[in-house]
Amino acid sequence: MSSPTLALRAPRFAAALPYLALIGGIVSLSMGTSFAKSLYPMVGAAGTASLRVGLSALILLAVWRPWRSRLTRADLKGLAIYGVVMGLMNLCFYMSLATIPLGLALAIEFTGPLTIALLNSRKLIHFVWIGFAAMGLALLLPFDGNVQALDPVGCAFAAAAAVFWALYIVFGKRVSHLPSGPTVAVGMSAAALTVVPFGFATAGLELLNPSILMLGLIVAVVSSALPYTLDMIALKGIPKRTFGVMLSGDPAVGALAGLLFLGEHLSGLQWLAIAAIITASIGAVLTSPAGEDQPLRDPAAPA
Amino acid sequence: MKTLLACLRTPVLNIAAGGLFGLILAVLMRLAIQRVF
Repeated sequence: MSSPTLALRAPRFAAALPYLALIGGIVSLSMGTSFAKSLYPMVGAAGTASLRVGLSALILLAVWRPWRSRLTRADLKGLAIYGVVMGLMNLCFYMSLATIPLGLALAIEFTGPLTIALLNSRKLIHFVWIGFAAMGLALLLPFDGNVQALDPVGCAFAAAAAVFWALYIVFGKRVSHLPSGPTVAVGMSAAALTVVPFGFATAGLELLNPSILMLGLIVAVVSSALPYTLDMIALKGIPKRTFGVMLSGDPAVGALAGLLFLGEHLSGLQWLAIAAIITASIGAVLTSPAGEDQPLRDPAAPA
Repeated sequence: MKTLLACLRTPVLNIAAGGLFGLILAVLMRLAIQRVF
């Protein structure tokens, strides 16, 4: 016989489960990305990106077996472009992580989907969110000696990742009529074909070292497969808008993960910049027209 | 005032105004922090 207390608690737990799943997904992604950074001394940024994308592609191919779906030549062309953009987005993001802190790379990268969300801004309030995003970016620029100078190359890679993330949303919408599982599997495979050559060019055959492959598999599971699965659970019980608001906190969680796992200390201004970009993101999500897609996270999103 | 509000409803001007607003905010924020610390 079940206890009455447990019976009372069960519905509460069921209601909280999607939120726990979403928080778990965000934390898993940040931890996976922090862990990925520990592979840099062994295989470099491009090597790490190759391991994550390549092994994620293999996992997704095994799970979804996209060869069983009927895809036309036009579908495959669309998926190839989507995959190449996804690959370059991941590569640029991991390259940026080599020289700038995780939280800041994420914050800069967030401006990509934010731009897409605000591109057709016709509401008065939108200019406030654009203002917050611009303020966040401007606060990261080294105008004076008080600011911890960020590596310009790392910032440029994060900005490129933002552009590719925006393009990824655009090209992702073009293949959105296809079933999502096989789409991500084929897209991730195209991404792997784009990124893996860079990995071999920098890390060589070290990428195939079994211990490195094992670490890469952990990165692929913790920063791709697990967050994706948890997001799917979360999306079933959380309204899309709330989901978007909670995902807006990604850069802050990334900054905390960077602090805890990588010892990346940020200055007050840099925390303020992250807060400004998160505010812009939350504002954009809350004031976007109802029913519009929230473009702030996708299964293949870089972080 | 009405013209200004109408202008802000066009995406290009909205983004331009937002960018300018953000830069001014950033400068003010930096100045404020410099004064305090």
